[in-house]
Amino acid sequence: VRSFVIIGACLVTTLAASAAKAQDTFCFHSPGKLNSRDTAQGYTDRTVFLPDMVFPLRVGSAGNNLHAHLNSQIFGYGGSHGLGGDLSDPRNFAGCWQDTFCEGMRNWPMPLCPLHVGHQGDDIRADGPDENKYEALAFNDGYVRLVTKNTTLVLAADDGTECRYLHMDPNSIPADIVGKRVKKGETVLGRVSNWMGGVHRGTSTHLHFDCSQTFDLGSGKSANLHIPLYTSLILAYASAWNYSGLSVQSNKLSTGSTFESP
Amino acid sequence: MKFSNMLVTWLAALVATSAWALDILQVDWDNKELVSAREAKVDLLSTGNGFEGSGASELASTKLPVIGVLPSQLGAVFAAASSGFESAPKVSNNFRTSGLKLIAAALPNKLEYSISYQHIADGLDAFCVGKRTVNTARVPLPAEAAQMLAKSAEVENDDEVHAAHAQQSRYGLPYRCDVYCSDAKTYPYCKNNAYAVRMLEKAVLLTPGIRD
Repeated sequence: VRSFVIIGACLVTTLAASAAKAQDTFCFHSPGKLNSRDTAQGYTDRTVFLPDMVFPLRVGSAGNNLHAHLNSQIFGYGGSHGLGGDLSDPRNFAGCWQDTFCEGMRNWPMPLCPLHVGHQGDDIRADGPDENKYEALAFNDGYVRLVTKNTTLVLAADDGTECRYLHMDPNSIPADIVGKRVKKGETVLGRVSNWMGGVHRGTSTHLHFDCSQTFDLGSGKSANLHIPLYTSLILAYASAWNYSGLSVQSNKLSTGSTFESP
Repeated sequence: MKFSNMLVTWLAALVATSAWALDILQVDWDNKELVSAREAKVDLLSTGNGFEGSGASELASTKLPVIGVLPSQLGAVFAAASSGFESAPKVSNNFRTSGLKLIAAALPNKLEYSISYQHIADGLDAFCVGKRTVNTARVPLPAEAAQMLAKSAEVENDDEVHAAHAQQSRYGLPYRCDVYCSDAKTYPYCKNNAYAVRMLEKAVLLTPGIRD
């Protein structure tokens, strides 16, 4: 019995230490602050569009203590407009998070981005550079609408939000998942990889995650709009790690957190 | 702030946002076409019409009219290379109209459904969605952004995603068809939204739904 108590105490201590260490190291740049090499302009509004989402990768204290890193694939180390080096450079898996919602070098029409073009979503690196290892999870309850050859998976949530997961390994996506119900934070949709255009290693190893909602334009018209996710992802990640010190007021992520780096 | 306080704040925000995040659009149940289809008990969701999978019964019980392209019409949609379709390749590609994995799914509240057209051709997929709820803007959109909204909704052509979207109002509700082109051979089908529009044009009333 004494051994079990000691082992249990050690386990609790280890987990607490791990969470504390993670809290010490987690930081994020302000919403809309792009990579310093990027000449585009970001979307600085702090609205939390998806307050009830869970982080789309398995992370946190209940997720094998795995981390995630939001930053640029293009302007990061090993990126096409980056600082040189390799995509697996450890510096890509450290440092403060950066928003890529309005990232430059992208051609998608983006009404909310100051330059009216942008990235549509945010790029998420997993805990490490390994392919086909880290699991992507359903961000909310809903069902899967489509999986393409390009391994774009479209998840329709019950609240009307539609999110896409890109670049996962095709063999990691359950074969019969289209049309199936998925459970928030539980259903594994696939594993983070490096597929694009139906080609292995067509990009870098990361998850592109974007979400849209249908907006009423009046006169019986409506349209889909990609919504900014950065603040929602920060809160979902903080929740996975049980971080304290972040708050939401009037649907916006409050300023002044010790996690935020200007 | 303690985590418990943060949680309370967060939940309060969630309740607040949920209260104004959705507009419930209503079906125009008096529409003549809908009335006659209901009287005739139209149901085109059978396997005899090419629909496979387990979603047909689920769709038959939705609280909104279900429209979609019959599998036999998919070839006609994507083989169209006439005026307005100049950007598409002149290929008589092998558009599959049989053995196509069509999947129907509906939300538990029966206020939304989608029909997935998986693997119409190699690197070509699509789905059509009908919904009765529409999210409204949580923050006022800048006027310029609102003007761009319709344009941004039509096509997505960049390295990561090539897709085209078309939407129209049917029976008082928004219906949308999305075409996904995930191979260099099929990118031209997403260069503009002509094929997505064509899907909407070919979509027929598959079942009138259940009035609640």
